[in-house]
Amino acid sequence: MNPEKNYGLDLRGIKKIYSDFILDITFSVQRGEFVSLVGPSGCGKTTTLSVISGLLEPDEGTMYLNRRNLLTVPIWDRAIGFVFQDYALFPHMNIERNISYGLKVKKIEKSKTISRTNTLLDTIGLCGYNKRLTDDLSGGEKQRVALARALAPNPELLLLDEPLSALDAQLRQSLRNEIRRIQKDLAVTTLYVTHDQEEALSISDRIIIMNNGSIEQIGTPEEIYSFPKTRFSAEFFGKSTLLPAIINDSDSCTCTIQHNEYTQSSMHYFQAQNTTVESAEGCFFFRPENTKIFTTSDTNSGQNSNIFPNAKVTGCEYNGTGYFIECSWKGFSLLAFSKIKLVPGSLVSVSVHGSNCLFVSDEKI
Amino acid sequence: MTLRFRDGTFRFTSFLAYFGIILLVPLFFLPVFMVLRQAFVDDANNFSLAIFTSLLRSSYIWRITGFTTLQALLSTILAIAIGLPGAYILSQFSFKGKFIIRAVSTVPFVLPPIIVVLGFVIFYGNNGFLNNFLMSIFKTSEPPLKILYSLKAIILAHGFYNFPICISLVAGYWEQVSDNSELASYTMGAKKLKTFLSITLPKIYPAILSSAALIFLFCFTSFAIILVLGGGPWFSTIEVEIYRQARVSFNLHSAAGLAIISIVISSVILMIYLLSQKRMMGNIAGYKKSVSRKSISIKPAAVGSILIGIYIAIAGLFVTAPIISVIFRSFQSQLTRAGSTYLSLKWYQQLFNIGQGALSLTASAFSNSILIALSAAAIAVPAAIGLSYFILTINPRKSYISELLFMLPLAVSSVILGLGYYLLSNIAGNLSINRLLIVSAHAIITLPFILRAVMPALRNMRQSYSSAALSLGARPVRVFFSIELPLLKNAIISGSVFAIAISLGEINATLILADEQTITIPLLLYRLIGSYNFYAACAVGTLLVAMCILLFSVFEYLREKL
Repeated sequence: MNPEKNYGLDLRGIKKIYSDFILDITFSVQRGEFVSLVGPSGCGKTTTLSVISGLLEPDEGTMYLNRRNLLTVPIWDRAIGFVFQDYALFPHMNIERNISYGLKVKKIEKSKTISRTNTLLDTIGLCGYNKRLTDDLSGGEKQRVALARALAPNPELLLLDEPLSALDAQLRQSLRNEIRRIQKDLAVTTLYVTHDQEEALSISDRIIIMNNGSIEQIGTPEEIYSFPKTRFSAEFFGKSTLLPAIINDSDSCTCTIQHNEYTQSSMHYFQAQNTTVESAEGCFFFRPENTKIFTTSDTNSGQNSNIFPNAKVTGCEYNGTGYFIECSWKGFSLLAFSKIKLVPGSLVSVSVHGSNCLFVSDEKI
Repeated sequence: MTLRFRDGTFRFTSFLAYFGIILLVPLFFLPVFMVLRQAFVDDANNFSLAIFTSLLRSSYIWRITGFTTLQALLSTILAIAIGLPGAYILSQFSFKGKFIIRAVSTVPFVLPPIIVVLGFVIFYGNNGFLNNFLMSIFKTSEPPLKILYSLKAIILAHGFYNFPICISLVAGYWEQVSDNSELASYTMGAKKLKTFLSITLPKIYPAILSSAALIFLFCFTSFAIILVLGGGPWFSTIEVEIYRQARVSFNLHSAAGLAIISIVISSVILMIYLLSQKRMMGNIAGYKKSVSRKSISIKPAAVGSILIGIYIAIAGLFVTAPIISVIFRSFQSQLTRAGSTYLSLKWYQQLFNIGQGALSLTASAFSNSILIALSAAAIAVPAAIGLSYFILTINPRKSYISELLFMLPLAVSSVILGLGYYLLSNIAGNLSINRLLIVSAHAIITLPFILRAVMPALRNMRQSYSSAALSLGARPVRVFFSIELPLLKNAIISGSVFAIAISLGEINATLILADEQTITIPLLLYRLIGSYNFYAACAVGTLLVAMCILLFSVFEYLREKL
């Protein structure tokens, strides 16, 4: 497979080495695709964007954008739009001059520049804002202008570095949908950095999870949420229970939960076809919303169900649709979900079907 | 092929940076070296350590050093004592007349020292306004206050000239640190005095130390005030003696010995200043206020209002009386030396008609000064911008080295610098280049002040502006001119205005470098004062004050307009 044909952006073995941090990444973004880059702060997301945009030069690796070798092109010729976390709107220029800056630099005809600027103002819903100063804009408006400015010279790739992090929750939600709409309309290849997992799940075609300078997992939001491949991915997205385990039999997909002296064998888990587990040691994983809670001793819920009997409720947290129930079971902490409120101290059985459980190896796949 | 993008990105600003660095070598390091080597060579120009050791044993050098330190110490104490209440009032209270303190405290900042000298002579002198006023009240013919030409005059003038530094530095810092720790102290039962001594004082101490160090530095290397108001060899300081030894007694060895002591002591003080500045920044970050001061500021109580009023009146009078005296006297005239005065425009007429004597030089003094100031700014401003880039972007990890490098012109007094240029011009054997030398000296002298304006602006300028412009397709040169320069505009204008104002009033290096034909406004003032032609001096001084006011008005206008 020739990657250059199918992918808009293609990074292979890109390395940036610092004394206390090493960035080492390989990934591709298809033409017109919207990919989110998520991870905790300091994991290398912004460094990745800087390397792609040309603000930083990588120490190793290759980087192509629509078949062009980016590494031989200086930043000003890369045709990559960049929306910064702080918007970076030029304070000494009005909105119109901000948006048209990239066009003027390219010496585009004046009439075309004006019409393009007005079209973009229309696209972001700020018609008539031409002469306003950047100081007079709200945070959300600044963010839109920054987006329009980055899009003005028709970039081949759009990079967004946590563009919504300075805004309040409600505005974030409406703006992220707007960004997605504009991106779809223009079909611009987009790499979107965020540390907000919910944001990434809701707007991305695919998600790249980064940790400590390298990539943990790449997949669709559904894959990332339901089938985390590493312990880090499992913990980063949503609430979950992770119990130390060893595989008994990879054919029948059973493992043994093991901790100090305590073991519980024949725990069923799900494994997708054509996948392998690299290490027999790892974690038994499930999400709270896939659990069932029984207050009676009748726990017969069928084949391939994993039962955690005699779990003691230690916490009960309401989230609007139900209760997250924290239980203590044989010294482990389990997270379950219940429609009804449970009193801390009461004894319950937690059951979760094997098809909703995963074995997550400690090693990266 | 791999391009080094980072380097490519900053190539244009590195060019500016190296321009600044390269400029420093012939214009600063070479002349300073020329001065210092005089302490280690004998008259036949051979290396001799004996010269240096004999200099160190000379009682003359240590007497001068002792007096210099003493007057600087006393002046600093006076300036802090006057300045601290002002800083307290300005930062802790909100009231209507606040702008008066601010305005009054900026006046000495923009005044050349020679004008301060003139103002002191006119106001405090034996025949000055204060003594005339007192004599008419007490009906005596003997002036009751004999201040001039004494240690008192030096300290008073230094206090006048420097207390605004204390006000602006301490108040600026005090406004920024939160008073939550004081409130916490009150809630734990500490009384006001106890809280002030145990919480407030340690908190504002770095700002006081910082302003004290700066004031001490300025008083230590002060020149014109000592030269005129000191009035003789007994009230002489290192700087004045360097000038006398070099240009009057032609003893370059003594001058160099004094220069070494001056540079060593100034460097130590400068270090204290830099360290306390660093602590202030740390404290501001630590005590950062969450609520703006406006909502906390309290209106003073009745007794407080009276005290504040008295302070404003006294400080205002202290600052404005000498200046107003100069302006007023310039419109006065006397028929005979002992005769009564009357209002006239005589001195201005003499200034504008090319007349006789010193005044015939007026026109060329003004044109020289303006030309020198503009040329010096034209060199120093680009150099300062370049050096700022050098310090902050080229190698940020080693910024302390380059920061020390540029701060050195502050530790080397302008008299020493002027002497260095003088020695260079002697080698060249051609004094006709001395206007060029004066311009260069002024460029170096004003450099630290422009840097102090430009550096913070560059430090606060977000990197993302330039990155955004680059990603939009602008090349580095374009990024610099279309984004970075406009963003630094205010800082550059304010630095330039200060540079021009300092150059217009500079007398230290100028006096050493100027030949008979070269005259500037401060030199003209110095000659007029030296020949006791105070009326004419006042007229020239008034024009200089008017020029400074005009300059700063233009600056304010540009800042609003651009």
